Amino acid sequence: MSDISGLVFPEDLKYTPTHEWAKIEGDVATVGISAFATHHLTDIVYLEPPVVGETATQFKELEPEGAVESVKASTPIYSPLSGEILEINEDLVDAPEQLNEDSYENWIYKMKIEDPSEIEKLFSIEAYRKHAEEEEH
Amino acid sequence: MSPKRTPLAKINEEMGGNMVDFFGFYLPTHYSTITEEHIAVREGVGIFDVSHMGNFRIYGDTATETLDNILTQDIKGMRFKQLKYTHFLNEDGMIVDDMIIARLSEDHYFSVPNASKIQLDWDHFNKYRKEGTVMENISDDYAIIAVQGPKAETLMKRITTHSCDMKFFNCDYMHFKDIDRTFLVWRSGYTGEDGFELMIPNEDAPAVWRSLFEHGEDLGIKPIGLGARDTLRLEKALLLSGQDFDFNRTSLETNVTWVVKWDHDFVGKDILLKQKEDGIPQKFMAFHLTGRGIPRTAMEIFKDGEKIGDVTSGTMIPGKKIGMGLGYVNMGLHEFGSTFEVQIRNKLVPAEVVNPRG
Repeated sequence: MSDISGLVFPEDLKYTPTHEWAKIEGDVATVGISAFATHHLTDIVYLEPPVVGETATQFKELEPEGAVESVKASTPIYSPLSGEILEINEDLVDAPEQLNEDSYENWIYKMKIEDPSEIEKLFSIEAYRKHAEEEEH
Repeated sequence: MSPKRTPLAKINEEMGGNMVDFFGFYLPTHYSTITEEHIAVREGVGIFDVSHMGNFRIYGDTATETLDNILTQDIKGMRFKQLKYTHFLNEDGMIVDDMIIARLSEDHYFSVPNASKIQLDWDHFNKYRKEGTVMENISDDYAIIAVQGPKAETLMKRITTHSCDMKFFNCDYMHFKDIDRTFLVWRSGYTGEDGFELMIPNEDAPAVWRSLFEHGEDLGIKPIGLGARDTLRLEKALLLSGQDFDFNRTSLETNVTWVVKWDHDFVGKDILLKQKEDGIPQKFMAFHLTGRGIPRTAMEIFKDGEKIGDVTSGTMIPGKKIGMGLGYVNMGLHEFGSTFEVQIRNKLVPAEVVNPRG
C-alpha cells in the first residue's frame, strides 16, 4: 500500500490519534488535520466547519457540526482539546481543496484551551509518527 | 485471498495507480486525483482498465429464445452488431443486475455482467438456459479497456484502420495498427460521454493500452481510476448495480423504464404488470443540493417533516462544487424541479430534482 515516509509532520505541533493537529499559543489552540489525514482522504472538496460559540470536548467529534469530506468519503473532526470554538477559517470553508496542498497553513478553527493539563494527553511528533506508521501497516 | 490481478495490473502500478481490492480485483481508485481524472474524461479522453467486468458468450440455435426470456429488453428485434442496455429480474420482479449485450450474429451474443455479480448472473442465466443454448463464462480470458470522452473517436481513428463511423450502442471488429490484430470494439460506456469499450484477449491488453497512450498525448489522455468512474456515472444518473438497486427495486422504479419491453414474456414480467396496475410506490431521480453539503449513500430524504425517500449514491461533482445525489422518492415527488430536504448529519439541506442529461 502507500508509503508515509514522504509526509511532513511539523515538530512544533501536538497531534491526536485521529490525525488532527493543534498549535498551542497561550490559552488558544489552532486546529487542523495532518498530512496523514489529507493523504488518505485525497481530493478534499468540502469542509463543514464547527460552530463558533459551541464547546468542544477532547477526543470527541465536534458537535453539532464539523467534518472534512473528499469526493468519496466523509470524516468527522475530533477536537484535540476541550473548550469554546472561537474562530473558523472562512477562507478554507470557501476553498477546502487548499487542504490537498498544505495541511498546516490551512488551519480549520481556533479554540480556547479550557484545561491545559489535557495538552499532555496529545501526541508529540515522535509518538505521532510512530502511531501513523503503525496505522499504515 | 489476494485480489485477482488484471492483465493491466503491472501497467496500473507503473502509472502510479492507488491499488485496492475492489470486489476481489486489484484495481486503481485513482492515478492522479479523482477531480483531474473526471475533468479529463469530460474534456479530452480517459482510459479505464475495466477488466473486472465479466464476459459471457452465449450462442446456439435457441440462444435468442433463452435471452429473450431472461432479459427485459427485446432481443428478437436486435440487429447484428447492435448493443442493448438491459435489466434481468428474479421471479419477485426485483432487478438481479443490469448489463449491455451485443448481438454479433443470428444466434451469437456477447454480454458484460458487473464484476460483483458475475457468479450470481451466471447461475441466474443457467437456471433459465434452454436446451440448445451454449454459454461460456470467459471473464478470465478478456481484458476490457474503456476509451471515454469527446476525443475518444479521434484517438480510435489514429490507432485502428476503422473509420469509426458506427453509432453509439453498436459494435464492430477493428484492426489495431501497432499490434496488427483485430478485436471486438463496442461504442458504449459508463460516463455519459462518447466512447468505446475494447474487448481484448489478456495477452494483447498491455500492447493496446500502450498504443492508446502513445497516440493520445496531444488529446489530454489520462488513465482513470474507479473513483472518477463512479463520479462520472453519478453525474449522469447512470445506475450502479448493488448500490442503486440491490434486489429491492423493479425496473419500473428506476429512471430507465424503457428497458422493459412488454410485447414478450420474461422472468418477473407478471410482477411488473401488477406493479404497473397497483401504482409504482417510488421513483429513482437525481438531485442537486441547493444548500451546502455532500449527500451520501443511506441518507434520508424529507419533505414537510415527513420521510419521502433515501439516497443511494452521492458525491460532490468534481470541478463544480455541487453536492449531487441519486435515490428514490415517493412517486410524483421525483419530477424535475421538485424540492425536498436531505438530512446530512444534524441538518436538513434543501435539494432540487434535476435532469442530469439536460
